[in-house]
Amino acid sequence: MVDNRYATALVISCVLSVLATVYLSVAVGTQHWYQYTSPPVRGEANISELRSLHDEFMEGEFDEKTYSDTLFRLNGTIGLWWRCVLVPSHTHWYKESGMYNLISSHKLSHHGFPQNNLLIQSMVLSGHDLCFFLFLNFSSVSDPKMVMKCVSFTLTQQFTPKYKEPGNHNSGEDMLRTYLWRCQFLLPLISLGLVVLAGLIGFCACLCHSLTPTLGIGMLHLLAGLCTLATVCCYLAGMDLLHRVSVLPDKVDGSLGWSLYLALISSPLHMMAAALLVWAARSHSQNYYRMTAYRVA
Amino acid sequence: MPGFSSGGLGGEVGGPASSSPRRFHPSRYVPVSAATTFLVASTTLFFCFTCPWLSEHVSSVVPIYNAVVFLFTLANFCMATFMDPGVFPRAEEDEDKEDDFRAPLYKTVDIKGIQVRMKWCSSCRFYRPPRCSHCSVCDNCVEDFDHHCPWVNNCIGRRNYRHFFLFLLSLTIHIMGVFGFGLLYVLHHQHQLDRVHSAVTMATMCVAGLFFIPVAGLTGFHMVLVARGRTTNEQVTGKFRGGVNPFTNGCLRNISHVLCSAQAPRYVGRWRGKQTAEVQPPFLRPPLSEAQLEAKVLDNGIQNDCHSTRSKSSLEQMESQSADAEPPPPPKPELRYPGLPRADTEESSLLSDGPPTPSMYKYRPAYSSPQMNHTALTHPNKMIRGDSLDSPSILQSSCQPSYRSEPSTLDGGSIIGVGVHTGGRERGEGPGGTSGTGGGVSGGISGYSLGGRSYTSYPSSLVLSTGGSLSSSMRSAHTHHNTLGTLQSEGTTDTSYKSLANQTPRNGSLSYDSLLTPSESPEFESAGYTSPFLSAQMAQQREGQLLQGSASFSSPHRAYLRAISPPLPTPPPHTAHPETPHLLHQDTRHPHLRASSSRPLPPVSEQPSPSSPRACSPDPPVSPPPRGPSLGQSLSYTREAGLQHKARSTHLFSLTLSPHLHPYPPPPPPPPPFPADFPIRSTSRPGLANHSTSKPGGGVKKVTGVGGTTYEISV
Repeated sequence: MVDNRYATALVISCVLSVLATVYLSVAVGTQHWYQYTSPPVRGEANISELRSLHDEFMEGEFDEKTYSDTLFRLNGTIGLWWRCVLVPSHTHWYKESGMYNLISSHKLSHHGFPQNNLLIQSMVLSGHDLCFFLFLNFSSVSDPKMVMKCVSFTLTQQFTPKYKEPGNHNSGEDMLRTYLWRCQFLLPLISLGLVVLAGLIGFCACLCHSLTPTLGIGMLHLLAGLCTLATVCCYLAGMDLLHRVSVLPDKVDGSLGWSLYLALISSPLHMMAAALLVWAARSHSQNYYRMTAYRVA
Repeated sequence: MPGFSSGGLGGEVGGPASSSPRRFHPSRYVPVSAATTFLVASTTLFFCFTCPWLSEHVSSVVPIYNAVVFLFTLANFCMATFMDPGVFPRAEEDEDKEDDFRAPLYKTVDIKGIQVRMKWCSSCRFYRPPRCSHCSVCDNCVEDFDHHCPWVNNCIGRRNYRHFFLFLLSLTIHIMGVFGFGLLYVLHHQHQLDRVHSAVTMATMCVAGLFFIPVAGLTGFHMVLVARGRTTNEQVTGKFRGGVNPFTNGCLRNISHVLCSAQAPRYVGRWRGKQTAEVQPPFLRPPLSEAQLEAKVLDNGIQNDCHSTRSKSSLEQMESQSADAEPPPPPKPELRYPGLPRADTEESSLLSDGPPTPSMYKYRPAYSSPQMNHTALTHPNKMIRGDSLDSPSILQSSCQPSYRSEPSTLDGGSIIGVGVHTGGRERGEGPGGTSGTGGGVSGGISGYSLGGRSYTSYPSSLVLSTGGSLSSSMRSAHTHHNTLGTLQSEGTTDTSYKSLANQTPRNGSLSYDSLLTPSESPEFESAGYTSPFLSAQMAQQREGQLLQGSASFSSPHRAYLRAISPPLPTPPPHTAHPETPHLLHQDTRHPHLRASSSRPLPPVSEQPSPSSPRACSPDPPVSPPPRGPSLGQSLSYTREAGLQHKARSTHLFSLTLSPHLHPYPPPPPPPPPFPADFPIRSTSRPGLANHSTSKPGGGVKKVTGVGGTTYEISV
C-alpha cells in the first residue's frame, strides 16, 4: 500500500509535468500572445498607404516603429518569436484597383455628353447606383479571403536595443524595455531546459532503480514554474510600456491572446508537479526510516 | 516516453520501500493517468480559450467560480488518492502462530443485537473487524472498505471515503459548469466555428459530455449509499439485504457521519511510539542514591575505628598515589639483575611439580557448567574482550622478578627497609593476581607467590621481635597477628589445615630447603586424607550459611562477606590438596586487608559521594566465578581507568584486592552504562551466586567468624 501511493504520486506528477511542458512549448512557438483589432478598410485613399506599410513590413528593414504601426493598422498579432498581420490576398488587391479604374472610366465617360442636360442627369444617377452595387459586392466577397503574413524575429533582432522613442535612434536606449524583452524570450527557454533536465535525471533514476533524485527533480520543476511565471510578468510589463511609448491609433483595440494564457496556466501545473514530487520523496524517506528502525528494534 | 518513465518510477518505489519485492503492474497506473490528464487538460484549455471571452461578455465572476470549483475538485482528488484509507497493520509471524493453525474461519459478534460474522484473514493473521475487508490489489485489510478505485489508484475506506464522495460531487458540478459555459460560447460564435477558440471549446465540451454520464451516475449511487449508511462492498456482496443494517443511524445522521465526523486515526503510524521509547537515555539517579547510602554506612563504620588504623590507611593511600605516578628509572636496572636467577629456579620447580595435570582438571568444570555456557552465549562481546586481555597479563607477568628481589632488601631491618617493604607488597600483589588469571600454569605460580608472601610476613615478625623500639602502628599489627594465632588454635580440623599451611610456604622458599627436606614425606602421606575433610567442609559451609542468615550485619559488611564466600569452591577438589591450605591461609588475612584498604578512601578523598560508589562498585563483580565474562568486564574497567584519575584510584583498589584472590578471576569493573544490559546481568548474577553457594566449601564459616571477630576487635 505504501509504495502504491508514492508510485501514484510520481505518475500524476509526471502527467502534470508533460501537460505543462506541452502548453509552454505551444505558447512559445505561436504568435498569439497579444493581438490588435483594426478597423476595416475605408475609402480608396487608404489602400495605397496600407499597401506600402505591408510591403515595408514584409521586405523592409527591421525597425520597431515600422512594424508596430503595421501591426496596429493591419490586425496584427505578436508573439515571442513571430509577428503577423492579417491582409487580403493579391487578387483582392487587384480587384479593388480594377473597380477603381471602372469608376474612373465611368466618370470620364460621363463627362463626354455635354449637349443633353436631362440625359446627362439620368446617366449620372444610374452610374452612382451601379458603382455602389459593385463596390458592395466586392467588399462582401473579399472578407473570407484574408490571409495572415508572418515574419519571424531573428536572434540579432531579439537582442536589438529598444529606444525611448520608437523610430528615433537619437532619443537614447530604454534599458528597462530592452531587458524586459530579452528576459521574456530567454526565460521560457530556461524553463523548458530545466524540465528536460529533470526528465533526463528521472529517466536515469528509473534505470538505476533509485528514488534519491526525486527531491531534486521536484526542485527543478519548481524553478521551471517560477521561470514561466516570470516570463508572463515580463511580457505584460513590456507591452504596457510599449503602448505608453507608441500611442495606439484611433479605433484600434489590443487584447491578450490564448498563447499567453497557455503560458500563464503552465506555471501552476509545474508547481503542482513539484509539490507532488517533494511530498513523495519526503514521505517515502520518513516511512522507510520508520520501517528500518522498527525492524532493528 | 511518459508511460515508460512513470512505470520505471513506480518500480523504484516498489523496490526499496517494501521488504518483500512486489511485482510492478504498469497497467494499474493507466486509469489514474487518464483521469488526471482529462481533468487537468480539459479544464486548463477551457480556462485559456473560453474564459477570456466569457469574462468580457458575460461576467468576470465566471472564471473565478470555475477556478474555485476546479481547485476544490483537485484537492479532494489528491486527498482521496494519497490518504491512508484506514489500513490495519499485519500481525507479526511470531504473534499469532498458534492462532493461524487453530483459528476457525468465522467468529460471530453482536452489534445492536444483530449477529455479525468476522472472518479470519490469512494474509494479515487476524479476525477482520465488521465492515473491514481485504483488498487484493493493495494486499491490506482496510477499515470500512468501500471499494478499490482504479481512477485514484487507492482503496476507499473509512478515512478517505469523505474526500472521495466530495470529489464526485464537485466533479459533477465542475463538468456541468464547463459544458454549460462552453455551450454558451459556441452559441454566440456560430459564425466563427472554424477559429481556434471555437474548436478547442467544442473539444472540451465533448470530453466533458463523455465523462458527465458515468460520473453523475456514480455520484447518484453514492448518494443513496450515504443516505442508507452502507458501503459499496456491502451492497455488492448483499450483506444485511434481508435483515436490518446494524450500522445505520438514520438518514441525517448517516450523512453527517460521512461529512462531519472526526478523522479516524491512522493505525500504520504506531511505530513512532516504540521508536521514541527506545531512544530514551538511561536514568542515573538510582546508582547515586545507593552510593550515598553506602557512603553514609561507610562513614559510620570508619568513625568507630581506632586512630592507629587511620594513620595506617593514610600511609597506604600515599603509597597508592605514588604508584599512580611514573616509577623512578634508577631502581629498575638494580631490580633486573638479582631477578634473573630467581626466574630460573621457578622454571625448574614448575617442571618438577607437573603443571599439565591441574590445568586439565580446572578446564573440566568450566566447560561442563551450563551457567557458564549461558553467559558465553548471552555475552559474545566479552569473549572478544577476554582474548584482547591476554597481552596486558603477559606485560604484567614481567613484573614478577622485581617482586622477587624485594625480600632481599628487607633483610637490612632498617626503618627505610620497612617502608620499601610495604611498597613492595602492593607492587608485587598485582602480578601475582594477574598470573593467577593465566592459563594452566596458574596453579604452580600461585603456589610460589603464596610462598613469597608468607616469607615476607616472617621477616616482619623477626624484625618486631629483634627491634628494641617500636611504633604504635607496629604494635597494633603485632596484636592483629596474635588474634590470628588464637583463631588458628580453634577446632581440631582447623589446626590440622593451619599446620599444613604453615609447612607448605616453607617448602616454597629456597632458603629453607635444607630445613624442610625431612618433612616432605609426611605431606605426601597426609594427601590421602583429603576426601573426609572435604565432606567436613561441606557441613561447615552449611553452618556458615546459617550463621550468615542469623547474623545481622550492615550492608557493606554483607557485601564483603558475599564477595568473599563465592570464590572458595571454584577449584576442583582433586587438585585442591596443595592449594587448599594456601586458600585457608589467605582467608585469614583477607578480611583484615579488605577492611584496612577500604577505610582510607572517605577521609582522604575530597568528594566522598562520587568516590564511594567507585570504591564499592568493584566488590559485587567479584562474585561471578566464570573467567571469560570477568575478563571482559575487567578489560572494560581498564579502559575506563585510562579516562579519569578517580578511575585509576579504583583500579589500584582492585589491584590491591586481586593478590588475595589471585587463584580466582580478578574483580571486574562496574558494568557498562547500557540500561538494557542491567536486567541480563542481574538475572545472571543470582543464578551464579546460588550455584556458588551450593558448592561445598569449609572456609565460609571461618571467613564469617574471622570477619565478625575482626570487627569486634577493631571496635
